[in-house]
Amino acid sequence: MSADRYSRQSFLGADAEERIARCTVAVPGLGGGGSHIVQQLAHIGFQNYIIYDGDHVEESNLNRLVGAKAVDALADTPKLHLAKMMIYGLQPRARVRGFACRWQENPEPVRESQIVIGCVDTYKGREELEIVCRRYLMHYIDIGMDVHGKEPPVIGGQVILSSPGGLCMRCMGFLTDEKLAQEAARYGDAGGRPQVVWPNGVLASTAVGLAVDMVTNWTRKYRSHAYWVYDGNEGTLRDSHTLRNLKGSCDHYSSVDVGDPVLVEL
Amino acid sequence: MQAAYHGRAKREGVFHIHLHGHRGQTGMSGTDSREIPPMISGFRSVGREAAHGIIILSLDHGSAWVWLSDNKEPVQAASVAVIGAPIGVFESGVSNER
Repeated sequence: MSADRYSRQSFLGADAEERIARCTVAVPGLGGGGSHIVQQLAHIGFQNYIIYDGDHVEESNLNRLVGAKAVDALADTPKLHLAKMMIYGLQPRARVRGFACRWQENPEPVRESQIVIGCVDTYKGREELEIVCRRYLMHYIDIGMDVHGKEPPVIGGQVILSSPGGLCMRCMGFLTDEKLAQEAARYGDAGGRPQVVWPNGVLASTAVGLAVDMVTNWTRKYRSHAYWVYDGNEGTLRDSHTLRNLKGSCDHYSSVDVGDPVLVEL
Repeated sequence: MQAAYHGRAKREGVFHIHLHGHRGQTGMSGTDSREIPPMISGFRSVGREAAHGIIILSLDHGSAWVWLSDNKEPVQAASVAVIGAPIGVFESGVSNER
């Protein structure tokens, strides 16, 4: 590899290239968010990937799926294939473990990662990813966007970091039983929710920036959690208000509930 | 060891961990090789179904050996990951020294 390859990101630290190359990132979901994520990870120099998506490119994806071309909708190209092409095109020596399914159908490879960047559509899906990240000690970064209302429509979104030992998405008020119950009640009735490329790009870029900082520590922030709220109408990304009143540690995940669940003799 | 295991899951492993105060790749010293592996039989005598092992850290590297429940010989971990801020991933046989 040419010494120039990463010359413009040398501020990340003298050993950043090696640190990034050794880290394994899992990306469940390679749609509007995940396609941005893998592209940027590959540009930065990540070499180890565990990626999941069982869907194929459809015409309705072309407004936001990075790397997809019109012909991919006609050819029914798997999203997994697009992601692999993106990664290998930038990092020919990358180690990519790709699975054409939901991560829940083959969850064990996720455990080999140090960072999971969740690009899933549902609160339930997010909760499941956070649970597995806590149990198997991985950092979880969540991104998501939605469009509410009509006069005018409002674009909202979030980027969240949930790390073992730190505040979780329930502590931060993002996941609640009420939201999960409402979502379960709507199951099968959601249809295709509004999604556009630019909020996904903002959120994915922020998530990748967070991942790079987790690996290189170039900001010296030593974050154990983060919750940034995106206002797509104002074009802002700010700390969630809920974080201001939060102190202490997570009450939802115990530090001893790690590894495979086992029966304990009483 | 029996007291440590009282009321705990049979598959919870015990790992001996210590720090070598230098930088770069680390492993078991001569003294470590003589004195630590015999501890594993003690760990196994109370936690027969669990994997046990040794983790040796330097200031910027780490190595680990795991005795699986059905193996007499240890398996050296291909990598050791520190899930903190920042994340550290130490690969077996690869020094982080620059």
